[in-house]
Amino acid sequence: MSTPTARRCTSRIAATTTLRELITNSAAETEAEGEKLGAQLKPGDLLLLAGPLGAGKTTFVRGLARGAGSDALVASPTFQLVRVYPGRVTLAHVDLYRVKVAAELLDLGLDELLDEGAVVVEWGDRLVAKHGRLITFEPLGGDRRRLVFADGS
Amino acid sequence: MSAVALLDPTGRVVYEDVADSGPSFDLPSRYRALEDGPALTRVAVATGPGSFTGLRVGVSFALGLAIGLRIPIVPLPTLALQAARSDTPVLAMSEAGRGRVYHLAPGGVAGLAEPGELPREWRAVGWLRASTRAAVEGTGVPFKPEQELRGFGEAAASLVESAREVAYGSLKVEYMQSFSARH
Repeated sequence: MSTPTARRCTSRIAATTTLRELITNSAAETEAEGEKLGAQLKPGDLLLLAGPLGAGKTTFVRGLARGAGSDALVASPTFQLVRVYPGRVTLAHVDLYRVKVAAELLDLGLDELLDEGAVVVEWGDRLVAKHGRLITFEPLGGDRRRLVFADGS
Repeated sequence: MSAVALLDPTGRVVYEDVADSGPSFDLPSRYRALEDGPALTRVAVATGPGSFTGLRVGVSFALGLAIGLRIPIVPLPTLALQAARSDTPVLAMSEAGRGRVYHLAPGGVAGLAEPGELPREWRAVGWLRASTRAAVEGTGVPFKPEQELRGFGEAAASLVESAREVAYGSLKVEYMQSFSARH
């Protein structure tokens, strides 16, 4: 997905919710932000990550999983579609990059994953979700990234 | 909850096996029990609404049997199957996760509700997690005691007679889907 799409998504949320944004200067900082949020995750929490390829989404999830109490190896589930990391809170890592058809989305069993733990969805802006927090990743050149958290419901 | 039953051609239950928990239900050994019995001529399977994983396991097992033996498969709606366990009108239920229940009132259509939104005219029949069941009972919907209910095999027998077989590829399962794709 191109950057303009991610921007459009950010502005859509901006109209309805408060935003918090921060700049990270390295992959390690992006991961640390993920870990902070991961430490607060509860079962039923849904995080939707948006942003172009290489924007730091998977790096963020690596921190998220550690914060959630998992020492599992985090990798983008582009082909498996879902990876589950057991921890203090079970974290399901979903990637919608390859999910093109609505029927495939139904085959993921997202509701059951949310019933069992927290869920983070890469390319999550492709999902229509009533609850869920959108985090948009914007590359600013080099290793700098802008992370925009939509602090809505 | 998991259940397997074997019916003879008259609908009499010749084997029935019910377990409270899903993951520990040993399907291969159940299969061997079926294999040692009389030749199967039809497979009926509950198709939900219910849990995503539970339905997939049950339907995969049933389809495996049916396709392997080249015999017809018959879908049975879970809530109708639960309701058929009672000879009086009941509110049929199944677990929907996150505190919610699927429900079917006599003469009604299946729905999804929080325990507090359920109708209270009937006693309930169905399998729920202990916490969900307690929440339902807490809202004034009592469960019909197990000893007043038919077994699963007998309930299935009453539905199988009028149920229609479907093509292997068109069996549909029903589970919670609160998400859709953005276009």
